[in-house]
Amino acid sequence: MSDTIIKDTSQKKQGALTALANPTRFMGLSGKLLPWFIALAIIVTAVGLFYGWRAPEDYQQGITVRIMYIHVPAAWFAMFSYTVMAISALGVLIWRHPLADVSIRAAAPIGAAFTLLCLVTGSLWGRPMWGTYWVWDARLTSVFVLLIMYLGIMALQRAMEDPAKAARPVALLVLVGFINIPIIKFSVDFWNTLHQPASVIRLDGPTIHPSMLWPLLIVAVGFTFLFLAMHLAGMRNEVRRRRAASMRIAGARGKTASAATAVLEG
Amino acid sequence: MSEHEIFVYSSYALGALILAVLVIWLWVDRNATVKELARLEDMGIRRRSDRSDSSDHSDATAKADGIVQ
Repeated sequence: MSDTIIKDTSQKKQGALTALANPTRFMGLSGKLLPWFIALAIIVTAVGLFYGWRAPEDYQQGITVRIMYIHVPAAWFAMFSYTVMAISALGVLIWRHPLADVSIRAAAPIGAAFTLLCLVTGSLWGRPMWGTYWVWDARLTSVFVLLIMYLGIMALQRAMEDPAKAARPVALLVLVGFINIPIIKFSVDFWNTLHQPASVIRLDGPTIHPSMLWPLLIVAVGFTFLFLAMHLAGMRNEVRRRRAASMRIAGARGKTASAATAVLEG
Repeated sequence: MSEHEIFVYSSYALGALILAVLVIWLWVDRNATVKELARLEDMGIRRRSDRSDSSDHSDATAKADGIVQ
């Protein structure tokens, strides 16, 4: 009896997971969620920035502290995008699900944009505060390496015409590159860096005054919706692109699409 | 205007520019893929799921997703 229940439960779980991963169901659900994520991204980010600009200036940094409200969330999502790609890479290698590869493809340019945003805003903060736009310390260098890795992954994805063939090498590269994420996070603790140590995500709690911390966290929530919206939009574009490729092959052959690409048809 | 304000405004302007480029690229890509799918459908090419009458087809495809790359 208990064996039957366990078996039934596992079958239900598998069914739910595969149902969520079904491309057609994904397109239906993401199509409904996308407008909400876009609206929330705009509203929540705007509210966070509004309160950020109303918060007092820092007694040492002056007005430049306001760069923090975009620099810090951009840095978080530069790393978060890569983490999403690493989890998706596991989906490619373990479950071999094409939607996982679609997720990597969609997240890479978004992560690259957040990394660039982080580097640009950090550089513009560094000039007045440190007296230099750039220094090769461990934090800045590891984030720069992250940008190069995003670009490398995007290049590898586009180096092979068939996305099904590129999926595994790309997933492996993403997983190997994930080692850089803890390096970025702990670089300010491991090495003596010009970049300040963590002041929000730390074991003994944030060291930022609540008047600045709350707007920062609100912008981070806004960026969460921004990431979700852009990731879903990118995934939907990629699914459509693969469906079109599959249909072109089917049209050329005059029969149903090949198994290699048909899996995204749903 | 303090001497540091230019760095703050430049940060926000460049940040908005980077995100705007990304959003515009996603929008252009969306329109291109939607158009391409519509063009192929106009040519009479159909996806397997559109040809199938079985409502269980998507479940069958989902199962295939787990094993076919």
